[in-house]
Amino acid sequence: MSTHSGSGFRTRSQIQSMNSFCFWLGYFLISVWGQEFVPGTDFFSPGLLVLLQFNRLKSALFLGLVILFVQEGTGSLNFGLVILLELGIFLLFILGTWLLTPTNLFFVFVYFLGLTIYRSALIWVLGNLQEIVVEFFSIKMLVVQLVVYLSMWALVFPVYKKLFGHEPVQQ
Amino acid sequence: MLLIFVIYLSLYTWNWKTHFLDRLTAYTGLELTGWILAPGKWLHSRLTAFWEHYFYLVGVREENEALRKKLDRLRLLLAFSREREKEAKRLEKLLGFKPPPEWDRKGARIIGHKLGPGAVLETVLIDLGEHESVQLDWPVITPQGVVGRIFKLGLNFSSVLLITDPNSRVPVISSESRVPAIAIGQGPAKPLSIAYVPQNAPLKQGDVFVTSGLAGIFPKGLPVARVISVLRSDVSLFQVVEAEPMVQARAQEEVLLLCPRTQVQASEPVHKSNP
Repeated sequence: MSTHSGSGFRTRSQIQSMNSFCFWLGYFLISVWGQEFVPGTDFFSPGLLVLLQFNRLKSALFLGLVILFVQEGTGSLNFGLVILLELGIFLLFILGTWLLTPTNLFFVFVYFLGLTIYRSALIWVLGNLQEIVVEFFSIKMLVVQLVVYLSMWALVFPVYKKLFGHEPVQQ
Repeated sequence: MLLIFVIYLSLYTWNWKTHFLDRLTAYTGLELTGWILAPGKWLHSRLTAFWEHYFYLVGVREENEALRKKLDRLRLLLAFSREREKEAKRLEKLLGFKPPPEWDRKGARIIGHKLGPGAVLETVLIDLGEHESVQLDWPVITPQGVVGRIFKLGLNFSSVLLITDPNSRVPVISSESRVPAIAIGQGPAKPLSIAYVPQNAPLKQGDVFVTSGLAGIFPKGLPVARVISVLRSDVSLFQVVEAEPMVQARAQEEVLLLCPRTQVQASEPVHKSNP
């Protein structure tokens, strides 16, 4: 009996893992196509925030690694931008949770505003280091990126919560 | 935190010297996005072709008439051009000129535009890569003119730097007055800046700039841009010239890659060109 329930547990766990894999695969495909439709924007970071909000650090690390190898490859700068971007995603989250509840909408807005500015500053600094002419803080791009971040988060967070039923981190 | 910073700097410096991670991520990033985007783009082109072949027939008769007239004009022009070409070849032979290098063409489909947060340059993704022997800096054109050059190589996909990017410089020459200059991109949907045109150069609106072939990347004579404004400044040694690119890269679906017929294989494999 116990063997049966253990096997059932393993099966449920495997199904859960498979569902999670399919969910993130779908997210990946949507993000790649999103980046094609809105050139020069980042669609992947909201997924990382959702994983951090649900305290799924291992999954966040794995998704971060996949994102790293995709985004660095499609970009025009030398290797290094996406590592700093992902470090920023993590550090901004830690900093934000000291002050606010991570699932709070105000937190999400401030977080993505900070991330948008950080990303633009990062591109400007690294672009200049590599002697590439980069536009300095285009307001249009900042607004577009912020809207993309917020829309993707608003799309992913409720679906992930409904499908995987975890309680997000409350600090 | 300091340790992470040191590790990052070491990785960055090591990659700067070896470009190992650039190559690795070019393979993974371009391949993954390429294989995701390619089927969708293929489907879109098939559906568009189906629509145009079977449903969108309004005005075809008028269009045929106009095309026939254009074809007659072009045939006449071609006949004259052939004679001029033979004459030019005879004169070159007579004067002992070295013949210009010949170029082959490869067709490619555009499947992506400026993808991701690191895509700070104006680029497009095409479906030809190292497997088809594509090399860095190969010119990318359409029958209307120059689009750009190969900037980053993947196995089956490559990134093309457009001439409209502010980091792009193309040596050009005016087709009428033979004024040499440099065509510099100013960003998407903006005209090219034609730099270093002397104040006394007889340049006017509508003149066409073609590649001069001086940098050794583009063959001589490919149309690049048409002049839209010429300003003579009192404080500068040069005229302020702006020109509209002959090709709007964002509106293209297919392009041609030009490969030198006597392509010398690069001794050191480099996977990303300098902008």
